[in-house]
Amino acid sequence: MSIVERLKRVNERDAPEESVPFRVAVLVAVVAAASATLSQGVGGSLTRLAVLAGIPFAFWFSHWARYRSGLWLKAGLAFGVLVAFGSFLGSLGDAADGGLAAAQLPLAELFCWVQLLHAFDLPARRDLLFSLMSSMVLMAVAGALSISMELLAYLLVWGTAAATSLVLAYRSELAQVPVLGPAPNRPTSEPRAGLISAGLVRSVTTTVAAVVLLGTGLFSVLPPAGQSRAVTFPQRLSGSVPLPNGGGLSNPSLGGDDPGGGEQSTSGGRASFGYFGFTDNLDTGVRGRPDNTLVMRVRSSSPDFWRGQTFDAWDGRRWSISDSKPGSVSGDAPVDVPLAADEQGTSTGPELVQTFYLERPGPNLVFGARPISTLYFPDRRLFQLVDGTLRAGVSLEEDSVYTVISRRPVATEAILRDSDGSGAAVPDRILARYTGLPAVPQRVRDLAREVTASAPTTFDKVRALEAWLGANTRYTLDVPPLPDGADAVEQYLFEDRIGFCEQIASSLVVMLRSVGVPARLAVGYTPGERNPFTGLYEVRASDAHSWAEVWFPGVGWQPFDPTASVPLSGDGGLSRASSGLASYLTQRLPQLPAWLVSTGVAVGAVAVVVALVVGWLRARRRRLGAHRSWADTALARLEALGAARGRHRRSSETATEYAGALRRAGGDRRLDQVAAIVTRDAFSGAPATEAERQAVARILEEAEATR
Amino acid sequence: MRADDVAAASDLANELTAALSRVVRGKPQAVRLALVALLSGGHLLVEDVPGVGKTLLGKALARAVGGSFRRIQATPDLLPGELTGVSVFSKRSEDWEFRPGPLFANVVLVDEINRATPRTQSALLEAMEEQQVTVDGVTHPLPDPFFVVATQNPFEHVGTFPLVEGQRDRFAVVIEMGLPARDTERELLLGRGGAGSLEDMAVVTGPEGLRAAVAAVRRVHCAPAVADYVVDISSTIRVHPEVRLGASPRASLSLLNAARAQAVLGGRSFVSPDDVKLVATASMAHRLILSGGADLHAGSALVRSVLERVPVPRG
Repeated sequence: MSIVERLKRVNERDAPEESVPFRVAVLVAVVAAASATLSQGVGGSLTRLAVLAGIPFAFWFSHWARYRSGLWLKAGLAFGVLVAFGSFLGSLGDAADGGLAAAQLPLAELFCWVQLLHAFDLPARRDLLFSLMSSMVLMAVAGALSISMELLAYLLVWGTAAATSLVLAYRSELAQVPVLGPAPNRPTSEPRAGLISAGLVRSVTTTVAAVVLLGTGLFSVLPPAGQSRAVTFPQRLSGSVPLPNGGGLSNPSLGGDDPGGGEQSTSGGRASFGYFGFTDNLDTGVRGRPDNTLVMRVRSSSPDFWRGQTFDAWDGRRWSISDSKPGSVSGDAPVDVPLAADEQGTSTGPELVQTFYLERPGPNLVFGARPISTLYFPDRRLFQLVDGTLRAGVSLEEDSVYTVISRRPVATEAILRDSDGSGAAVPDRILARYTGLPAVPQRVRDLAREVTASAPTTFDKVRALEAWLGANTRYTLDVPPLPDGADAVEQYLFEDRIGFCEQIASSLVVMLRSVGVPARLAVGYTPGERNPFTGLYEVRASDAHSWAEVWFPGVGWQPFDPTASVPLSGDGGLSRASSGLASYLTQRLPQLPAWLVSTGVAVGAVAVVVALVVGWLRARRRRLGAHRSWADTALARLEALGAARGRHRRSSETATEYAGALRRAGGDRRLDQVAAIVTRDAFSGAPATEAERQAVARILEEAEATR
Repeated sequence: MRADDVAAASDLANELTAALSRVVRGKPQAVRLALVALLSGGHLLVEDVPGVGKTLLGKALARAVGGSFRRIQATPDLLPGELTGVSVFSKRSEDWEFRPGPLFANVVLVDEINRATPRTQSALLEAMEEQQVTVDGVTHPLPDPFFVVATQNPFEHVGTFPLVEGQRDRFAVVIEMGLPARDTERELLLGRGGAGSLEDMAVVTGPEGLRAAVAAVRRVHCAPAVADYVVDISSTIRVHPEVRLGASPRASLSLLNAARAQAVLGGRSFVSPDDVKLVATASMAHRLILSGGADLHAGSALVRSVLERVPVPRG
């Protein structure tokens, strides 16, 4: 066979696809996938309009032109693809400074255009299935870009349409196999209903249910996504404005208390999601917590404190930053962040990549587990304080994205307990800055000494104080106001004994300092809740938190917090991709009265049992019905015909007698013929011929039509 | 080649039906059932009052089938030997020679069988069952085909010996002629059909053709479902509260054979439940002994009620 012949054979066109329902199902899947991708911020309004309006038109066109040779069409489409590719290259040039990650969106846009162009040339089933497959890839692209649950709606539509397409494609293929024909074994008992038949619904429902079950099962045993392996990470600024204060702190969400507030922003109160800790002067007398607003999403393979900044100076009521002179951090993207002066002596562990997707405008603090070693941030104006706090030189508005790579010291209980004996000394700089205290009330010092008396190591001292706090004080959001002139720590430890994280963490830091352990107060966010579906941590304003950081020789700063349970860096990690699935779902279930829940569970259990029994019975009937002959089904159809006329077949009545009775009652004269063929098929040992079956089907159809 | 054999048998059955219908007017059911008995290789008993054409049916059958034909008028003094034949000493051969009786014929018409003594009846029925006679210790086979048509008037009581219940099931089919319809009777008076037309009747087939047809009927296909249906009918009859002695397995077999013949009459090479239903009453009713005795009418009604109850197979 010559190469030319082979080429011809390979390029032979399949028979055009006639099934309109199949086409429509593929169209729905493709549109759902394209919409999902476009919803992730891909393409401009022109692309969106062209793709969403163009794809249905292209599908219609493919159907209309399915018998045409389409040579010119192919040439045109090829040209169109080239144009789209050229446009993609052009947009790459525009976005060159964003790094490789900036190519993501143009690439997805190119894919949408290719999907649209391809939709113009779908004459055969194979082409339609190809389009379905590429819509799956498009769906995956959308999934890679997505950070929220919004995708779920698209996924449901796409999954259902795709399953429907596959079922319809299979049926369309079956219909072309001449031997099987219109499935002679079980054709007549299921008369064709219009576009959506019960059989189709059943098939699709079963398929989707099986996929969901299987997918959930796989999901629950799958390991979580490991450390991100990308060579470049998302970074994007949206609507940012440069800040004039040269590395100073700015937090517009605090309204009039914005530390960087210019003249124009001095008015107004704190936003509902504003946290009073993100300022340069934390007042523990402030009451009122941020609400549940979603402030950011964090993609990270491990939970940690997303730290914003630390405070070192305590005056009995307020925390402040003694050395707040920011130094500029420079370098090409990604920025290699030097280890801050107060972090010197920190051991560095494996990289932890965290990408922060901001949902609300916030302070110009760069959050992340500490110490940060690399930063993917689009703007060059970055500032670092001696404690390692990073500030941006621009405002951070919602939709901004940056990625932080941290090299956390590996810490486990054993390592921390051994650090005192490791021989490493506490640097003088740390001792000088993080053990100083103002006039702390004597009973606070006594208490700290008493609690830590029997603790041999720094780690044990911290744990002892945490345990005492946990046993003798209570966490609450409803704290009485701090009396004027009172010492906040003393008030908390001896008077109120209730407080929230600022009181607890401040007490821990003060008591640790009073026994000579270097400690400081950190503010930021707890990891938030991990959404098992997106794999992202959803951080809410109420997750804003303050905790204690304690210096361990040879290890570095370690966060401690009696109120939030965040695993140590060496212990952390997730076991499965579905971690937190159960708690995520139960927290979203509405609070229902107990009787309703128990009734629901009982009804559900009964329903499951009934469904199982019914399913078993039906399966059994179907199993018996596997022997159900053509004659039997044809007779059943004849019976249905008679029953519709009010003349049911008596069980002792033969097909011939019954058909005769129907004929005498004004039925089709040819029913006798039907009965004769059915009887012969049933009892002669020789099945009816295809022609006879078709004749029977025709007669019955006509009789049914004149019903 | 079964289909061909059956087709030939069906053709023959059609011709026989046509020929008989010209003579036995207005009795299509009787003609059909008589042919069922003939083609299934069984024997026929016709019951009814005198003068409704019992003998005419027998004669017409004999003539249509061709072959040898004998008629026996049963009387109380009829001896078994007069049916089977006797051994006589031949001077010529100086030996005992067997002189065959009237049973040695292809078609034997026994008129008013219930006038013969039980002893003679037994001899006749034994011959019917075994298709052979034994005289003086020597067994002589009867011709093949061998078809007995017996008639009786069940309403006569004086000087009759009713057939013993157990012996009635030697007959494959028992039919009642019934009175003719008014039109038929009128035609009869005007000389159309009836005994007068018997002489004009053509011989349809010979012993050879009939033998082939009977053999073809035996080979008619019976689906397992139809056999089940026959068994269902028999067992339902057996457990019927009014039945003292129900249908034997031989009755079931006879019913199926009759249904096979009915299938051939219908031009088909397989038995359908329709065939079974069409012959069941004539094939079964006379075999039943009900709590009220052996009554053909009551038996027929019972079989019909059973047919109304037993579900037919769907296939």
